[in-house]
Amino acid sequence: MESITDKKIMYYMLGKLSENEQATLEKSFISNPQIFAQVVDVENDLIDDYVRGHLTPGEREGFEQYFLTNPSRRQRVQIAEALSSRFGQAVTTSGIASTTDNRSVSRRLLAQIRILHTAPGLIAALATLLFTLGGAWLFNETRRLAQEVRVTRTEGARRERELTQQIADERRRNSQLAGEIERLRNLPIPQIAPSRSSSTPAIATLFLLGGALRDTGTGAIPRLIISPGLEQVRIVFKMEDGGYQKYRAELQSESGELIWRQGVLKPRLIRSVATFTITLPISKFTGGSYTFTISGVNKSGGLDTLSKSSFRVEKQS
Amino acid sequence: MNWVLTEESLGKLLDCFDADHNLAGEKYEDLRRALSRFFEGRGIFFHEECTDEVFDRVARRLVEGVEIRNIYSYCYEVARLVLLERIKSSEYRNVSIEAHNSDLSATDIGDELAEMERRLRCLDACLQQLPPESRLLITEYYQDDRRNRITRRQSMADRLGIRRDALANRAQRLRSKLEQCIVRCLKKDAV
Repeated sequence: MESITDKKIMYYMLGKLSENEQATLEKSFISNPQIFAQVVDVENDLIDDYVRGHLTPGEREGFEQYFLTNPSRRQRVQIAEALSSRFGQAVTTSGIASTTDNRSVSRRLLAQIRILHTAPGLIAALATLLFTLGGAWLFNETRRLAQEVRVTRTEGARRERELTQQIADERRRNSQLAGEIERLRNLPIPQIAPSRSSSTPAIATLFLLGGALRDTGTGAIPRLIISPGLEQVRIVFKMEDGGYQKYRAELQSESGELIWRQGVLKPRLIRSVATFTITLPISKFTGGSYTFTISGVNKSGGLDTLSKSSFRVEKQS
Repeated sequence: MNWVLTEESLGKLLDCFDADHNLAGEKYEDLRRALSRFFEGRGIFFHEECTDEVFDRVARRLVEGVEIRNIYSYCYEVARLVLLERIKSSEYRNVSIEAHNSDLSATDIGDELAEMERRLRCLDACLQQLPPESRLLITEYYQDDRRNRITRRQSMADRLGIRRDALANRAQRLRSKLEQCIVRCLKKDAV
């Protein structure tokens, strides 16, 4: 029979399994009721441990960032809070769940009561005093604990709301980014926008996408057509931000000859999309294939190549 | 076109689980819970709806005469398909965000304590509906004792003369029943 460890199930609950591992586990617990019982057992224990504050900081983080993203799961956690508080009471006050320890405490109490029968008057007075003091102490202690529980719950609820808000913001941001990527992908490549007027030089604009933004589907190399009278080429390069303070851009010809280089380059950032705009004189382009490279300058001053984009330049007579 | 589960198709579906329809009903419920957890684990908010969809499709195949040798594996494959369809659907992303927002608006700092008190009231009412031996079992099974959990539950199973996984099943069903009762009670309370 296949066997799955509780730890693996816990990783599943905390979103720490790979897609393959997750799919295998899902297939197992759907196909095998015993494994499903194990999964539910681990989940219930995980929820109870969270509610009772028994999770390690790492487990708690995973629990809050992954497990609690689902409303049904959050509801189960809320119910577990209630269960946890009542189960504690049931054990101590109504004796519903009598344990060995509880029984031994009862026996000790019974033994003491038997001794008390030997000196009824004095002992009854002592007992009354003890019960009164004990009752007062219990009353105060219960109030103090109830107060602590209220504070903890309010704090927990606040944390949960903050977390939910963060998740919603993150999803919204991702959704906007996905839209932006989709829009960029749909841009015609190359997009040449010649503009000519009496006061401004004629410019052709070439859009290039790098990294994850690049459309890997078509495989077509962008072309830049240089028509007579064109004076400048503007290269607009977009990629997902690499998080570097500085970038370096290079343009090389087909033969590897360095045409142009800029050592300290800062992109324009819109959300996590970095846009580099470079304007070069038309004289830099003689025709043929070119490679545009963007590198990030790392902390030690070295270069991390982030993207290489090729394009073709064709001169129109 | 919407296809509706009929008595005939439900009967055929239950036959796949067990010839004894009482046992089949239990197995069906267990698989239903497993499928629901599967969708839930994949971030689907309306997981019960997807679970219904799986059973509807499987029952439909049965009526069409498809022979299903292993209902569990078959349901898993159908569930994967339903999941992919749901993820691809344009409404998926919107629903996710809306569900988050509606959940956010449902909770209010000032109401938190009142909510907790309502939950406790409902829990008490639901616990009262359980027979004493069930209350004893669920309380003992889920008591706060992380270190000795495994040995304690094993000794519980030994004492009751049942297998460890059978005990887990029993405790889970009770807990699930209690959770459902509390949810129903809270809904009723909110009306």
